[in-house]
Amino acid sequence: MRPVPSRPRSATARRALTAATACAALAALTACGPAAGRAESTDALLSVTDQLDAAGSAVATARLAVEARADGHLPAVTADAAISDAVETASGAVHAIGTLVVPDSATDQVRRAALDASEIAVGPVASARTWLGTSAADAAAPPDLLDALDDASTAVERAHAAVQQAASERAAR
Amino acid sequence: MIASDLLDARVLEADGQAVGWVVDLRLVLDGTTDGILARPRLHGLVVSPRTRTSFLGFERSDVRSPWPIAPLLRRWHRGTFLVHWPDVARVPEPDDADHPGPAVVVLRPGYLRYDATLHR
Amino acid sequence: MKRLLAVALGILTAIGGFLDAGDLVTNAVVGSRFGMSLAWVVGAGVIGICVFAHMSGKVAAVSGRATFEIIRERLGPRAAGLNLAASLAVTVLTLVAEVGGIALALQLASSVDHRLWVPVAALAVWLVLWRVKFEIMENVTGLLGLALVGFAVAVFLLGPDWGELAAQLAPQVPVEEDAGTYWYYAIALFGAAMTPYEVFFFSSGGVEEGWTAKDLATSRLNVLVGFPLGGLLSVSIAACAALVLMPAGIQVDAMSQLTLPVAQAGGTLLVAVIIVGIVAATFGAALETALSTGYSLSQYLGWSWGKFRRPAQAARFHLAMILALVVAVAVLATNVDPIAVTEYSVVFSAVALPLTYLPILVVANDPEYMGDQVNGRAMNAVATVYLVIIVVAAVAAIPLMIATEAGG
Repeated sequence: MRPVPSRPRSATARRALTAATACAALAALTACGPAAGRAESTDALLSVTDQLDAAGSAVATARLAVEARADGHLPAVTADAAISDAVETASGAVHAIGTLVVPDSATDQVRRAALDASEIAVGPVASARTWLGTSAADAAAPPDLLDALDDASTAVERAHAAVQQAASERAAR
Repeated sequence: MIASDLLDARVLEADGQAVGWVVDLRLVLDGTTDGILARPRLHGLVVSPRTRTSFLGFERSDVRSPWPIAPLLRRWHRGTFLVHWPDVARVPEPDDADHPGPAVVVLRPGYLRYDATLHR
Repeated sequence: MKRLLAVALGILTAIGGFLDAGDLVTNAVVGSRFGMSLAWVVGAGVIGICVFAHMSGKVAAVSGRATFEIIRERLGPRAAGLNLAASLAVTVLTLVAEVGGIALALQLASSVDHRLWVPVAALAVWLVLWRVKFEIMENVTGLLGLALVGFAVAVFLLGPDWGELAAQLAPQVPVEEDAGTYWYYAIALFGAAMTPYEVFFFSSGGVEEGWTAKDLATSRLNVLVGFPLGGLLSVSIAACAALVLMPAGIQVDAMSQLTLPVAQAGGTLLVAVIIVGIVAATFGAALETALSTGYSLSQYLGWSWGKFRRPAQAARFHLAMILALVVAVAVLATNVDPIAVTEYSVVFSAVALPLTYLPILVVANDPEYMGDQVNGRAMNAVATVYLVIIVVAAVAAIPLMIATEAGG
């Protein structure tokens, strides 16, 4: 062992340090970009559209599961799991829209219309589960169930468009 | 005394001037056998002048890769040295009136700084 | 045959690491929302995990030391202690998700509510950890997990327009999504591919199997077969979702939705195969994460560890795993959604990753441990590029999670 001489500064290391700091700062900046705030009522409406998306997705899931089951492509137990998840999602959407606090009465009107549509969606999804429980294997899907699912899907889509329009009007103002 | 009394302690010269922090302890296994290993003996303290963060073991060898981690760490820890344990004058107790606050290690006047690299 | 069994470790790690409960769902979610536009992240993740696992496998084989022993030695007790706390938190969170995932998968096969399956699943995991030999455990779950190849089969049976599917591969943000959400899911997928527990498990598993420098070829083969296979299956899941669920307007929020494209493609039989695969993969991942909690804690504290020892000789190791399972059951008993837990766990994996990656990279360069097996220049170049990616992902993860309300 010998006593140490002091080591000269390394220019490479200094440059590397600067580069690393710049990278970290850039990452932090780009990450924080989308955090910009939204107006309160627009925010509420966006949350309503999210819930309507969930309701629409639940209806579509139920429809796919019913079709697959009717074609004999999906085991009954698996179809049941899929549709019961869809029931949970759809009723969760109703609950979320129903309990949402909105800032003004105009927004509340939009919310109520969306609530009606999401309530319409729950019915056919739940009856899909009932059909699954009572039907024999490979029984064709009853046309009225499929129709009800389609109607629910249309209702949700309409409400979605209405809410989106209201939101963009709000944003424009 | 246990190892964590020394790790991270500030290192002072006899006249009170700070020279760095204890970043690692160097032990040698040359005592009587205790179970399957020789009893370890404290050989010295690895002192880094600028930072109390870990040197990730780079002080032991002259490994320069991977770039840029090794050069960065070497820069943060430049001037790291080893002091032999006999060169430590005292390690004041936490309630010592002369050294209130965080743990310190006081070196003997005329102590020697050794290269912290392990040579075979 | 022996060669085939030798890669079982890699396959188990890959199936468990890539295709655990949350991955199955994250890939389906991403496929149903972003089409194939995030598939490149899976590719980046595969290369990253290959680099990471290759280095830690090499370190384990040459030095005989597993990942956390090295972290402890290199970072010192305090920094390594923080590291341990972060890694354990992520691993236990993942274990929660896996036990929940087994329960969800069993629900698909039984339509009995998944909440009822949770204690059964945890008990089964514990029995296997307690009684079953390491080799049998990894071979059985690895081979059954291969049933997930069914997702790749499903993609072919769906008969997509390959040109259009390939066109979707270009990284771009779909019109109805914003850039923040896109990057949030990019990090989630990356974290799902490169989870720290995979590496604890892989390197400790190497020590369990008694690897030496002579076994480096096995280690390399494990890495190069297992992880790309896992990545391919991840992309297949995303493709299934992109082909069937996205056009139907379905957002994936449950594991059961994964069976719908498979049913459409291959009918009841393929669905049954997939369910077997999902149960095996989540079960394998639950074993891996439970073992990883035991491994990391024991390696940090210097306890005797390993399944090659009888439980009585590694009592604290087994106790740690039992405690982790008890925590998992307790968390799931709060009726939390296991899918949500996994989605958070993959993001936190990305946050915790640099902590384990850096020490391994440093040790893989140290001739004191590695002799002449130190990383070469090319390996170091790739590994350093990934270090930067990993750090950027870790730094960006939490702000993006807050900004996008966890991808909402």
